[in-house]
Amino acid sequence: MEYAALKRGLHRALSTHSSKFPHGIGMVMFEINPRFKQQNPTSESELSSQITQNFSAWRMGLPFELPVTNPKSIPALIAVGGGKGGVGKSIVSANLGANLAQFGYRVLIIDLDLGCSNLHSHFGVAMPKKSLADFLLTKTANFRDIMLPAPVQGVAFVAGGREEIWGDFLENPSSDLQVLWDAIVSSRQQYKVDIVVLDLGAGTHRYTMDFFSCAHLGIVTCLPEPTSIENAYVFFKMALWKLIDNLGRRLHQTEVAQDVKAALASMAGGSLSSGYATCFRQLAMSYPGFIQELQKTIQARNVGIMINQARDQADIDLGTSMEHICQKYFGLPTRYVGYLNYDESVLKSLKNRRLLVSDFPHSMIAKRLSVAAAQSLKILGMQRRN
Amino acid sequence: MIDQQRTESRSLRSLAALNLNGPTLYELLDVPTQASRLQIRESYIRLRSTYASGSQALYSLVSDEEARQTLESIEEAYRILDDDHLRKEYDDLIGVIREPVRTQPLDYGSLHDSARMGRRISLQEETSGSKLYGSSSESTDNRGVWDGEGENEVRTTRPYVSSAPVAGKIKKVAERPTSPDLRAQEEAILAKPEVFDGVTLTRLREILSIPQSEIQERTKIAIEYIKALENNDFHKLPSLVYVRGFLKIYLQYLGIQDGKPLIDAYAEKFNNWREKHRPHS
Repeated sequence: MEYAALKRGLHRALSTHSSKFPHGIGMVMFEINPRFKQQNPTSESELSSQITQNFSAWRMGLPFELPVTNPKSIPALIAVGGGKGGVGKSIVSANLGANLAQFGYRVLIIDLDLGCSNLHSHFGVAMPKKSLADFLLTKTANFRDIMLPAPVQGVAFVAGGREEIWGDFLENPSSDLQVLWDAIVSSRQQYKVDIVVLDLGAGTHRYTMDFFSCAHLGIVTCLPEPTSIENAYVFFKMALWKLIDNLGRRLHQTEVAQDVKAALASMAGGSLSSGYATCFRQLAMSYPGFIQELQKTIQARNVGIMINQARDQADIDLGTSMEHICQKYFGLPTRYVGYLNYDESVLKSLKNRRLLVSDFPHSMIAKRLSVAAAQSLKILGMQRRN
Repeated sequence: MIDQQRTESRSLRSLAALNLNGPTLYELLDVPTQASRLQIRESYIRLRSTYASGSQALYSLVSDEEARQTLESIEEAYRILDDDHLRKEYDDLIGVIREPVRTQPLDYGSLHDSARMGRRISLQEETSGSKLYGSSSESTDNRGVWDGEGENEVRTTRPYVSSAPVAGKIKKVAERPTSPDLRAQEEAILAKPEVFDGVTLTRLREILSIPQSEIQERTKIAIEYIKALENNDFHKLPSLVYVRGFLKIYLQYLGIQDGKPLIDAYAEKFNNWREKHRPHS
């Protein structure tokens, strides 16, 4: 059904708007649904209070240069990360994006698993010809070319690109990702994207943490098993360190940032009483200004926890427990976004080469994803549009 | 008795031995100082499962030994904060001023051995006679909830149910008017049964100063039908046989011995209306 709708929309867009949009592909999905035309995304009432209020604090912790000064001209950024591989980052980002589109937002999902991308497979699409690699490395495409319509209304996605191109880049990074960041930030003004979902790669690679520290809402997915939990905590830790780094650069206090990091490394140990929260409290006496700014930047970001493949109540409760531990140990206020139950339909939909929520819309996991999407909107301070 | 005394002395000693320099018990349990007993309990259950042995959330951050210690301190904190009297003492100790709970929903929270605690409080009241426990212990006393020592005691621990219907014989007839003036008014209405209708029915009820809700409660006639009867809204009423039945128990409750002429008069009016408006029914 989605394919039919997509085809129809594509046809219409190409026939009616071909003169208006010479590179019409990127705009196709926005033309399908007349509902979207009624909304004016740049109207002030539609904007998230959470994002606009904490704009300056959020900006302090950015690793990139921000070209715009108006909080209303940037899309809401949701990053899905989580240390370990195979915990469902891509599934969550693809389906969360689809659910957010159901709520009436235009969503752009970007595969940032550089060199190991498979987001397109979750949409049931073969590796597209135009991808992020063409935009960033070979520079043969502009950003609109690589925004591809997903088989769900209101969703566009950017594929990661072929691994052989990324191989060289990751070996010796020649260009940085500022270009991509600029494109993401300006996507609201240019393409009327409301929410950008960043599908991050496994591990705590530099670029992964760069984009995680940018996000308004960073969701850490985690399986209820020790290895995954350990990696999730490492991920939280690295996110904190990244924020300290970024803040040091912004405030031109790189020495202070180094000192704080060194102090943290030496003080923090394997117990609650010597966790990061305690260390911050002690460091606040030596570097009151810096720690205060750090607290502000942390508050400006929301960190969410998501438990995937929950099999019983203990697994579900793990989320609340992790919430508590993060607060106690890292001093990081986290929110339990939701859990996904263990479901065979995930595998089936992948084999059917269809998006999970459109292949099994009445499955339990689709319901849980919808709840998680609603919760994410709530955390970001946004209202459902329909 | 001895056992109770022992637990009592232990609780007092432990309160004295608390470390006041560290985090407060409220911080330990992750609740605000004004938290209700239910909030404290919820938080306690959450934290207990977090620090329980085999909990995965602690993996790689907290050692088993520390988790055990934390769990112990959480148990201790909950034991003190769950007990109203110990909590008050602790609040005084750390200088927290807590709003007294006005209503007494505390019985809902007596999910664990609070019955034992309740008795301990009363014991102390006898021995020390301290003013601390004077007012509060009376209401928070859970004694007798589990023991079933008698109907009387159970009712004193749950004063908020007093408005519920009293078990036993249900009052069948409303209080009769005592003043001769009211009696005369009632007699006047009863003397002219042919003019009886909803208005006079209302008048009869008002002579006894009974609200419609009481009629509804006692006679089990739906309040809509009571209103329809009194307002002469015949179109809202069911068929004649029901109307007669309603009037019968209504008048019975009002304590009118011979209601038959009144009911007949009302039924005639009802029939006239029906023949005019619904000739084929």
